[in-house]
Amino acid sequence: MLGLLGWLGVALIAGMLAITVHDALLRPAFRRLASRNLARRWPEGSLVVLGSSLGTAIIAASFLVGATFQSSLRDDARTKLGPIDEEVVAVGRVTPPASWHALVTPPIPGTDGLAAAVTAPAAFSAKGRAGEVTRAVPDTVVAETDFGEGRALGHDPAATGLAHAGHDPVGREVVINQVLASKLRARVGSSIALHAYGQTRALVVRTIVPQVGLAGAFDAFVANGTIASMAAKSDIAAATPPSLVFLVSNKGGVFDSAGHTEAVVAEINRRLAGQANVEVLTVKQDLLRDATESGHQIGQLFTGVGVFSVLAGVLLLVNLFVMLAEERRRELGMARAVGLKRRDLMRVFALEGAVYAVLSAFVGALGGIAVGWLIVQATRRIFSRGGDEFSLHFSAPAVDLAIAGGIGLGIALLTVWITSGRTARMNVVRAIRDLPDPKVEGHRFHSSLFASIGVVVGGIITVAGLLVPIAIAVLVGPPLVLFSAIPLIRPVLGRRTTVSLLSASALLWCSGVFTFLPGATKGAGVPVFIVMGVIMVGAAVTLASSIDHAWVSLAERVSRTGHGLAARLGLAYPLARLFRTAMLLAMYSLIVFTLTFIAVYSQILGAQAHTFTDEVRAGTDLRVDSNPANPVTPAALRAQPGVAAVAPLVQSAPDFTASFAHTPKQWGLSGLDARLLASGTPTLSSRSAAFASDEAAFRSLLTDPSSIVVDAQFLSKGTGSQPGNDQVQVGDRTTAINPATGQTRVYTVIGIMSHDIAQVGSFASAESVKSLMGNLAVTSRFYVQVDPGTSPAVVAAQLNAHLIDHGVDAQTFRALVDKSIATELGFLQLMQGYLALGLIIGIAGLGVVMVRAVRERRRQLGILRAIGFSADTVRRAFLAEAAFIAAQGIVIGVALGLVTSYQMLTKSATLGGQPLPFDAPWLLLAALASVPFFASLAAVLIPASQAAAINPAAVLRRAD
Amino acid sequence: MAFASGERSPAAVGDQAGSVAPSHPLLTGSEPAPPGPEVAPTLPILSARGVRKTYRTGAGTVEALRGVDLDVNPGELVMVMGPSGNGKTTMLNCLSGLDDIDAGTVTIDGEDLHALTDAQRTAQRARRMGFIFQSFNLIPVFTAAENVELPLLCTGVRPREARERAHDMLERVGLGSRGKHRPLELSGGQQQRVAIARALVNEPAIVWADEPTGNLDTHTASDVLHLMREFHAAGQTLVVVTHDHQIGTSSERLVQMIDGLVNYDGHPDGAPPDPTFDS
Repeated sequence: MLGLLGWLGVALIAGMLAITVHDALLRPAFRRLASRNLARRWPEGSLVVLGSSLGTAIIAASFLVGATFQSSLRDDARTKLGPIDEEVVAVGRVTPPASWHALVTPPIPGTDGLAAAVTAPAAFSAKGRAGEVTRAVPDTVVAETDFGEGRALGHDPAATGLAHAGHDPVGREVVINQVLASKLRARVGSSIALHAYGQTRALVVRTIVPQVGLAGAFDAFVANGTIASMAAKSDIAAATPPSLVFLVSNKGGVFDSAGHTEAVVAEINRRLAGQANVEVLTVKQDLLRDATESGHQIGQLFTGVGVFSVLAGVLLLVNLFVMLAEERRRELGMARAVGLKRRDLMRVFALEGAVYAVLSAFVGALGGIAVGWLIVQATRRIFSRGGDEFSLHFSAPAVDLAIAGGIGLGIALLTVWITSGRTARMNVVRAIRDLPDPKVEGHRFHSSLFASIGVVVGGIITVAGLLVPIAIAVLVGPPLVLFSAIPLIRPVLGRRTTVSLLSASALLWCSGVFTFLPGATKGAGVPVFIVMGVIMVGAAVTLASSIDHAWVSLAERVSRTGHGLAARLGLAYPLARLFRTAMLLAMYSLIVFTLTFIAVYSQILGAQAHTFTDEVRAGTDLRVDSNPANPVTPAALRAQPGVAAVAPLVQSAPDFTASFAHTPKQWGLSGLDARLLASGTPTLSSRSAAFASDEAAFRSLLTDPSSIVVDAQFLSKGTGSQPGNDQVQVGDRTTAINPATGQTRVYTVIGIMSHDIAQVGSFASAESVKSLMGNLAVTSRFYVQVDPGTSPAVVAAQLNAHLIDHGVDAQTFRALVDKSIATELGFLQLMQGYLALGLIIGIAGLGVVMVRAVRERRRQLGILRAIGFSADTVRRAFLAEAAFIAAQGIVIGVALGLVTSYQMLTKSATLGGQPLPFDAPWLLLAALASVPFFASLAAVLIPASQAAAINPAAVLRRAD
Repeated sequence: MAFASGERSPAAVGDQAGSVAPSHPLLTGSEPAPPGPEVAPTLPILSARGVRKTYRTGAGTVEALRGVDLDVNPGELVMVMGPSGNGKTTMLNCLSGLDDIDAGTVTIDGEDLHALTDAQRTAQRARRMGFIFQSFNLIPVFTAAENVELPLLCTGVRPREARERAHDMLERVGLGSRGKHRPLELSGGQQQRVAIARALVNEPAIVWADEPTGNLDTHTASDVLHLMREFHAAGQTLVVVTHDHQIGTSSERLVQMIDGLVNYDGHPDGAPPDPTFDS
C-alpha cells in the first residue's frame, strides 16, 4: 500500500489544501488578492498550468501503462481459465482411479463445481484446395470433456466458453476456439488434421467457440476416447502421455475466487493423500499473482524512466513560480507595506498557486490518459513485432488517475509553498524599490555542522562501499563528501573556485571510478549508471553555472567581432540569472543524458546479434521444437535434406528451489548428451574455477548427474537486470522437484550462461533429467547443424513443412536472437519516446520561461528599442538566449550520456557477457542534439517576436 | 485666451526675439538672416507640424496631441512643462519617433521621421538621438560601461572603440571608476549619470529627457541638471520634459502644454501663470 512515506505525503498535501481551503472560504482579503491576480494574469496562469501539468501527465501515463499491463495479463484469467481455479493433474492417465471418488464426494468446501478432462499436446494443420498443407499450428492442447459438466462449472456457462458449443463432439467432429480457427483459417465445416502420438486424424470443424474459460484453456475438443485411442496406438516410446485433469472452480466470480485457493488445495491434498503422479496446480492464483507482479514491474519501469521527465516538470514548475514571485516582487512588497504579515503574504501567494496546482493536476491526469494510450499503442506494435500473441487492452482506472493527480498536486503544492515562503521573506523596502536582496549567508555554525555531517556520512558510505563492495556506495559516497565540503572550503578559496573545483572533482570521480576501482564497482547494474548520470549532470550544471565569468568573456569576444550584439544581449540574461539558467540546463541535460544513454545502449545491443547468436547456438544452426506428444525422432530429422547433424535435448520443466528462491518455481531443464558437445557449447559468462573452459564445464555434466548449468535469470523474479542477492551464483545449490512424483535432486551450479535467448532454462545430463522427471521428460527439442553451404533459414522452412505431423517448429538461432533483440530494442525505443516527452517539457518550458521573460523585461526591451536596437536584434537576442541554454544543456547531456554508457559497456559486464566494444550511433546523436536545439529555437520564436514587436513608447510611458 | 496649436503668443515671440541667440531663425522674426559667412542661416534640427495622436482605451479615445507644431534648433535647451496627462511625454515620444502619429509631420534634419520604416526610424534614433528617462532605465544585466556603449554598438562602432568612448563618457559624467558596476550597485544619481552618458555617447543631434530628475532628491537632481547644462553649454541640443517649475523656467525657452496643445512657446518670463501647473 502507500507506506509511511506515502501517508506522510498524503498528510502534507491534505494540510496544505486545508489551509488553502480555509483561506479561500474565511479570508476574503486573501481570496480577493489571489482571485484578482488569477483573473488579471490568466494568460500567464495558463502557461504555468500547462507547464506543470506535463509532469503530472507523465506520472499518470506511467501508472496507466502499468494498470493496462496488469489488467491485460489478468484478463488471461478470463480468456484462459474462466471458472477454473485449480487443476488436479494426473499425467499418464485417461480415466480416474476409484480412489479419486473422494475428490468429488462430498463437494470440496469453497468450491462450486468440478469437471474432468483428458488432455494432450497436439499439432493441427489445414490443407489448401490443392491438397498442400497451408497452415499448421504445432503447439496446441487438445481435450475431451463432458460439455454439460464443463458448462456447469462456476454456474456461468458464458464464462466457460462452451455456452453455445452444443453437445459433446462425436466421431470426426472437433470444436475449436477462435484463435486456433483463425490460425488455421478454418470455418465451420472445414477439414483439419490432428497430429499426435505418431498418428494423424482427419477432423471436421463442427463449432467454433470463443477463447474463454475452458475453451481458452484448451484449443480443441474432440470426441471422447479419441486421445486415449491415439495414445494407445502410439509406437513412440518417449512422448508426453495424455493427462487426466480435474478442473476445480472455487466459489466466486472469475477474478475474485482465488481467495479460497489455499483452503481448497489443502483439502484436495488431504483427500488425495498418498496418491502418486498427481499434481495440484493453483493456476488462477498463479496467473493473477504473476499479472499483478508484471503490471507492477512494468509500471515501475515506466515510472522509473519517467522520473527524468517528471524531474524536468518539477524544475520547470520551480522556475515558473520563482519567475512569478520575482515579477510580483514590487506588488508583494507593497502588500507587506500596507500591513500584510509575512505569513499572510505566503498564504495569499500559496492560495493563488494552489489554484494553478489543482488545475495542473487535473489537466495533467487527463493528459496522462492520452499519453498512456499512445504508449500502449506503441507497446502493442512492439509485441506484434516480436511475434507475441499477448494483447493489450488500454485501461485507465480512476484510482490510478487519482493517485497520479495527487502526486502531481503534491509536487506542485510543495513547490508553491516553498516558493511562497521564500518570496515572503523579502525586504519590504527593497522589494518596493525593486532592488535585489543582498546575499544572506546562513548561520555559519549550522551550515558547517550540516556540511561536516555530510562529509562524514559520505566518507562512511565510501568506505563501506569499498569494503563490501557496493558499487552504488562507491559511486555516491565521494560526490556526497565533495558537495558537502563546499560550505567548509568556501571561506578559504572563495565561492567560485570552491564550487568549480569540487563539482569538477565529482565529475572526474564519476567518469573514472569504473576504471580506477574495477573490483569495487563490479556487478554494477543499469540503475547504478543512471544514478551516476544524475550525479554527473548535477555536477556539470553546477560547474557550468560557476564558470559564468568564462561565458561573460566569451560573450565579450563574440561582441568584439562586431556582429555579436544580439548574442551578447542573449547571453547577458541567462548569466545574470544563474539559478533559473541552472534549472533550465538541468532540465535539458537530464533528458538528453538519458536519451543518449539509451541510444548508445540500443546501438550496441543491436550490433550484438552475431555475437549473441554465436554464444547461444553451440556450433549448430537451428533450434527445432516438436510436439511432445508426437516428437520427431533424431533419425527422422537427420534424414531430412540439408541436415548434417542432430543433437537431441530432453525437455522437462521441474519445480526448483534454491537458497535465494524458497518458493518452488517451474523452470526449464534440458538434458544433453555428447552429441551436442560435438559441435560446441553455449558460452558461459562464469563457471566454476575447476574448469579450464566452457567445454570442460559442459563435459562434466555428462559424468556428474548433480551438476547443472543455468541461465543468468535462473529463478529470478521479473526482468532481473539488477544483480543482487537473489541472483544465482556459481557454486549455488538448487533442488529440482518432479511435480508429479515429488522426487527431488540437488544440483550444484557449475556454470552460468551468457544468454538464454534459445530459452533453455538450464542444462544437465540427459540421463539425470530422465531419471528425475520420468515420463515428464521428452526428447522433443533438437539443435541441428545444416550441411555446409546450405541456408539454415531454408532448411528450417523445409523442416516446418515436411514434419508438420510432429508439430515441428524450426527456427534459426539468428532468427531467435533477432526476434529477442527486436523486442528489447522496441522497448528501448518506447523508453526513448517516453523520455522525449520530458524533452518536450524542457522545450515547452523554455518557451514558457521566455514568454514570461518578455513580460518581465518589457521596460528594458522598450529602452533598448528606444536607444536604437532594431526589432530584429531584439528577436535574435531572444533566440541567442534560447540557443545558449539549449546548446549547453544538450552538450552536457550528450557528453555525459556518452561517458556513462562508455563506462557501462566497456568497464563492466552489465549486459551479461564480457565488456563490449564501444560504438556510438553518431548520426542518431547528431539528430538527438540538433532536433531539440532547433525545436527550442522554434519554441522561442513566438516570445522572440513578441519582444521584437514591443512598442517602446507604450512600455516606457507605463514604466515612468 | 487660448492659442491654437502652433500659434505663438505675441509676447512670447517678442521675448524670444530679444533673448535667444540670433541664429534661431524663428525667434528672429520672419525675416531670413542676412547672407554672409559670419551668420549662416540655421535650419531647425527638428520640425513638427500639426502632430496629432489619439489613444484608444477601453473607456473610449483620448486625444493626447491635437496638432502640435514645434521647432527645435541646434544648441537649444527646450523645457517642456504642463500638467500631468496633458501630452508632454506623448509629444516627446511622437517627436522622437518612439511612437507613431495619427497626423502631421515630424522632420529631423529635413527627413520625415514618420515616413520611414520602423527599422529606418530605429536607425535614426540610434544615430541622431539620445534618451534620458525618469526611471534611468539602465539594463540591469549590463555594467555601467556596457550600458553606455550600447548605442555605439547599435550604430556599428567597433566594440573596442565603443568601450573606449564609453569609458571616456563615464569619465565626463564623473563615473570613471564605476564602469564595471552594474546599475543596481549604483545610487540613483549615479544611475542617472550613466543614463546621461548613454544618451550622449553617440554625439546625438538631439537628446530627449523625460523627467530626468523626477526620481532624485533635490541635491542629486541639482547635480544632474548641472551636468546637463554643461553638455548644453558645449552645444548639445536638449528637450527636457519636467514638472519642476524651477527647472522649467531656468532655460531660455519654455514650451507649455495644455490639453494636447502647445499653449506657450517662448521665454519663461513671458509664460502665463497657470494654477493647474504642477510645481
